[in-house]
Amino acid sequence: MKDLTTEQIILSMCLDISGKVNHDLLGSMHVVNFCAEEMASLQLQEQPSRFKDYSAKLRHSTLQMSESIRLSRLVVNTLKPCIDFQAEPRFSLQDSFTLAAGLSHIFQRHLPALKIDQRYSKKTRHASFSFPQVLVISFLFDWMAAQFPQHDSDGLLSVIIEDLPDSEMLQFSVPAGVVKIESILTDFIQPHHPLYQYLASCKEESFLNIIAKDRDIIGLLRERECRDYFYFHVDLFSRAFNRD
Amino acid sequence: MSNTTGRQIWILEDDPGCRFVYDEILKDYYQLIYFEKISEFEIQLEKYQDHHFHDILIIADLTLQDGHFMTFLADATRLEGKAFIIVSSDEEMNSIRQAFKGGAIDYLTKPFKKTELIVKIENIFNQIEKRLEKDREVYLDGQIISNLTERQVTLLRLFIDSEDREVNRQVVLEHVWGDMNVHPKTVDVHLYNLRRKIHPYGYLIRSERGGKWKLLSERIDRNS
Repeated sequence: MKDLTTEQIILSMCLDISGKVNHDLLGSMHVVNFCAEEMASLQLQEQPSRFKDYSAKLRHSTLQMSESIRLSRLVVNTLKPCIDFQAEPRFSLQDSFTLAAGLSHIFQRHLPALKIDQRYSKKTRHASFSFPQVLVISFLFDWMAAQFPQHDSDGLLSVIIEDLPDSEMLQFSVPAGVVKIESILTDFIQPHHPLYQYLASCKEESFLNIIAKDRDIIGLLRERECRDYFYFHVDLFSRAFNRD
Repeated sequence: MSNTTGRQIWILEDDPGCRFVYDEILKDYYQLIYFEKISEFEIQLEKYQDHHFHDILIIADLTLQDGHFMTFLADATRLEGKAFIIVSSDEEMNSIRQAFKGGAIDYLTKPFKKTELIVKIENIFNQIEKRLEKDREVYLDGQIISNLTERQVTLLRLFIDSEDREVNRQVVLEHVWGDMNVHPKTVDVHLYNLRRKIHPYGYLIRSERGGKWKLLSERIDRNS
């Protein structure tokens, strides 16, 4: 494959995102149309429990449509400034995690959505990530979401990302028992993942291997108040990318 | 209403919303089996490799969790002899063309109408049924002998294609039953049933010397 610039890779990914969002919107619209038509029929109006099911489905699909639009706006607006940049784009911590979670959900729409809550102090606010690093963080979110048992269609996985006091690390927490750190060795690398090709275009796919094996970068910290806490060593993560 | 047709519809669809729509439209009439991934579908195909697929219709979305259905279709032999339609939000002419080239019977775009899906599925199963009936027919000297079983079709075609329309037991066993071990009387029972089916058309199967049988027209060959 010929070498692509980061700008070209981002443009190609944006086209892919547009196709995926369009597909998702039409899928949801299909459900909305069907439910609306059925609910207008007298037959369904005489069956309160089925009417309620249809109403819930309609509501869910409408929410999905607005979520698809929100995510695509968020991702494209975050990436748009990168297209004109001469230098390699950098993303703030806040943007990196938001963008990574958005990409994760757009490309793996069958996984439960993440509810990301970010709380940084001044200490870590200066940190930034490159585009390939953001892609790797997307894999991290996918790996977490894939372990989340989706009890109902509205299920969201709450992820809180914050500074780890007295340290150069971040910590992220999820509901206790959901994420098994051991599975990072086997489930983190997904060569069939739609984002893998973009990481490969950046020639950074081998980095997934480092994340999967290196317990200094990501690992389990503790369990507290019904949440599991994991550490994320920003500095080691960045240094691993600059290993050459 | 319950599923009385005994027919199955295998649906490749990873969107829970769309699965709900299929359920609501079809579950009373057909047994629905869902696949979220192409890999799951491949396992099912493997399990059913000896199945005739007369009573199964495949509905596939194009974009699935582990790949694109067109990529799967690129290996043309995979769905050979199996009825399938594509239901997708992709309206591109190229996708539609590729789907038909890959053997799809129909292509529906989402959002589709409930009645449109029902009618198309009914039509496809009717077409399969008609084709099956056609498969149970044999063309003999300008006449169509119909209402035969699969084995009777094979047996009658064996007579027609053999020199002087004459066959022996060994040839019948090898051609009709292959490697299967069958009771010696089985051949006689099948010949008896075939005789009954072809008699109204003016044909008979006569036992010859040396354990052979010959297919004869009662009008022309009776005294030969």
